[in-house]
Amino acid sequence: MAYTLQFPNLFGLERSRQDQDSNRRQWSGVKSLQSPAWLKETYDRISALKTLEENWDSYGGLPVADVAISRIRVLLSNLDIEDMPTPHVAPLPDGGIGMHWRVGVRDLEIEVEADGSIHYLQSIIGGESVPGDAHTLPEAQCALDWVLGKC
Amino acid sequence: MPHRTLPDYDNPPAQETWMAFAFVPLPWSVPHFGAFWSELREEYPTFEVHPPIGEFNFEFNAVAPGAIVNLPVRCWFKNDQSNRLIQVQNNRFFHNWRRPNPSAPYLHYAELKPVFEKEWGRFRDFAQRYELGVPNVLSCEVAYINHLDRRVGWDNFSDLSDVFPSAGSFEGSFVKKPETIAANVSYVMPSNEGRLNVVIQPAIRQQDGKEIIQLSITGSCRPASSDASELMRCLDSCREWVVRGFDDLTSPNMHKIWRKK
Repeated sequence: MAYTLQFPNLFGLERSRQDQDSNRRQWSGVKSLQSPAWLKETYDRISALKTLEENWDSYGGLPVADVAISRIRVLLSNLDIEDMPTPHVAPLPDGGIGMHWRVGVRDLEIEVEADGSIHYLQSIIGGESVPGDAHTLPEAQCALDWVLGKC
Repeated sequence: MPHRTLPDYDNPPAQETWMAFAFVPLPWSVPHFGAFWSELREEYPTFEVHPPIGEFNFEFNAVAPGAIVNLPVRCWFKNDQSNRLIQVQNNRFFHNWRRPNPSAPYLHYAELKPVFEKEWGRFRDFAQRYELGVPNVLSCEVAYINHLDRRVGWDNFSDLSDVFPSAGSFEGSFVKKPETIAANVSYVMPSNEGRLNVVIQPAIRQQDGKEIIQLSITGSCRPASSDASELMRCLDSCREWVVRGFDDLTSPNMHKIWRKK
């Protein structure tokens, strides 16, 4: 049995292939701010959280910590989020930031605490919830992949 | 070559630079990667295996008697400081240098070119010793990857004119202001010797999650021969175009920030 596979022109996207080729020469890691389409808007929302002052929620909520902002930005720039829908971003009362995704019946909340630690809660609507900690990027990626039914 | 004074900066935004040659494919196979690495390993102790640059075919006939498989692979060999990288595939050779962190000192072309020359010489010698032939070089390439941090001389992804005075606004009466602008521009060098490619990309630096404009400028030239002196002349020519292009396309205000000499 003989096989011939041609790469990477599988979809005839010549321009895209050239761009990818150019990027693949590069060593220092960057992520395009244009993909996924919601990334720039989400980044702006995260940046806007910096302006919150103490007691922003009238219950003594702390200002969002710089560490949490920095950590969530690194997270978004290093995870494979291409297929994810737009997350809902919100400040947490203890100075952290929360992100929430819903895909079908699956819910994922990721919380980046003021000290930079990351926790998540995976829930099936009307079903059980499973909490977890993400100490590494692969662990955070696995939590995201679960929402899409990949993990 | 006449002495040319190129624009220079004390604090340029270059994050990474590479020099590369593309050549007619060598009969390079998997064992050659290992044999070549054994000669580099002291200086480049870690490796990664990547898909090759450019189009490639992967053919195999798994059940045929005497079936031979040539895997299309590009190997990375990295040094301990994680600031120098050699990339090898059957028709390309790269040497990349990058800043280990955004505030680390910048290494100039005059310091990097001899390193590339030495590593290319090592590769060329290896190819000859292993009877793979002398690489017939088709193109030379010099690239600079610049990271322009947001709020350092510019603020708005929808208006690049603070950085690039020749950039248009792309603002219409119906579509209004764009959210982001990216550009991919190429220029032909005199006598059609080569091209300068400029890519402007709104991006996030993965190391620290900061918003940047990534400005990639690549000069590529076709050498008249594969002689070492001609190849080095081509690299110099590519580099000159990259430096002059960078200076020409960016604003005087940014030049002040980068402390133009």
